Amino acid sequence: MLLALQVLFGVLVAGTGIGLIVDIAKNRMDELKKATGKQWAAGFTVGIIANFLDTLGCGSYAPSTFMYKLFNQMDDIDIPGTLNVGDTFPVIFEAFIFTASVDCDPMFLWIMYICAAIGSFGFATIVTKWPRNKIRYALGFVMIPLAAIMLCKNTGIGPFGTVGTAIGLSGWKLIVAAVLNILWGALMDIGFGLYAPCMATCLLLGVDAGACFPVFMGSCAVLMPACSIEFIKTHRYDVAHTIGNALGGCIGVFIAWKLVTSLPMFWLINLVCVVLLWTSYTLISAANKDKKAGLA
Amino acid sequence: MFVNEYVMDRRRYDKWATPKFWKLPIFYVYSVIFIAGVFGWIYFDKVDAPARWQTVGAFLTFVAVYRGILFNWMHADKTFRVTRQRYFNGKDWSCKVIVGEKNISLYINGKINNKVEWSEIKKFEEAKSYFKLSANEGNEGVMIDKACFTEGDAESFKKWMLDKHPETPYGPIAPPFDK
Repeated sequence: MLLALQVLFGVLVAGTGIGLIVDIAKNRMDELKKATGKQWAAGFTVGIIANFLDTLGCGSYAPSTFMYKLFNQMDDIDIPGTLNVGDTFPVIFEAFIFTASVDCDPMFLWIMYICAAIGSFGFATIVTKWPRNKIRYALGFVMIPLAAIMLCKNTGIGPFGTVGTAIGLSGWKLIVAAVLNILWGALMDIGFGLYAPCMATCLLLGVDAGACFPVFMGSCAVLMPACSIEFIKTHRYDVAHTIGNALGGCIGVFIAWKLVTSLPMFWLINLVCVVLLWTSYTLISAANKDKKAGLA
Repeated sequence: MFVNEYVMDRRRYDKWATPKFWKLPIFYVYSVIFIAGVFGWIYFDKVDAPARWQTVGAFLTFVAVYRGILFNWMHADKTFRVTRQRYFNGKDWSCKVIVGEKNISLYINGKINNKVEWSEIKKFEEAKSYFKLSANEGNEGVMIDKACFTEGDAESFKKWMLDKHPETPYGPIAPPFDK
């Protein structure tokens, strides 16, 4: 019953959904009818795997792009739109099931969401001038010691204290988290994922590992539809893959949610550390690639 | 021939691109979500239910306020600032629309930017302060400010359109954009 209610809310919230349905009904019905079983299956499978990883905090764009290129079923130009529109639904679904299953201070959530929105909308013109590769290196290298500190905290080694159990923040910690979430929101405008840095921020400030999930998922869920609307307007997405991705994605999210909420805290924090290290690796290798190609 | 010239600044862009949120049908959906969220948040606080229920209430109220009221304006504002930064060196840009017999020419900062054929115009819409010649793609169209004609005027332009292009359906613009 609870899940059904949340799914209903998710559908209501996603203005993107209405836009997508209207667009398909008006302009893309032929493509929908012509779609083959293989296209549906590809979209569905990619959706499950990528959004499973996304829910764990690894992000879904890189694995989705890799798999779509592997299946070679759509124009490269349609991949960004398909991912954006198709992933909007699982991301919102993610935010709902985590807010409904994890204890987190409501005011803390409100402040973090507002800050992410301010960052993304208010600082877009500033961050687009920033050196992308230098930020990649900085974030990539910062995340390695952060993961190490969290591992030490988790295992009780060293002078770092124990892991946090707070479901919200107040005082200077709240101010630091809020300011950093503005930065993470702004960096989304130049292609940086918000999940890992936001997760690291909350963990280091003493938030319970489980309570971090609704913070970063909600922050992303409210920002994503902005891009999707643009892709829907310009019809730059593949209909069958987008719908398959959206449906499969919700299933992937559900499986990952079961995993995350049933894991003991010790293993959840270890998993979070692995995600931080993985994010660090992807940032540094992307920066190296661009450097070699002379793009930075 | 009619010529319409204006400077695209933040205020004008917001005015043309942002609908009045209270006139959008989806606003009522968000209102219901907001009321459900606030009610749930207060109720679960009063009955000492687990924090996760209050969390759901808080999330719903945030999404309703953000998506129902703020989002369209924030999105348009960001699009304008990013466009100005990327293509116009951080400065507002001037637009000149020349409505001719054969086509419509669009100039940006004195340079020709686009030519729109009459066959591409699907609707002739009128708002309180501007006309919109809507093209194929969703919201796209040629915007003409009623107060910015340098050749001709708003009344004669409307009359000319109705006489010369009866094939283009005329009507009032959607209420959220009637500014």
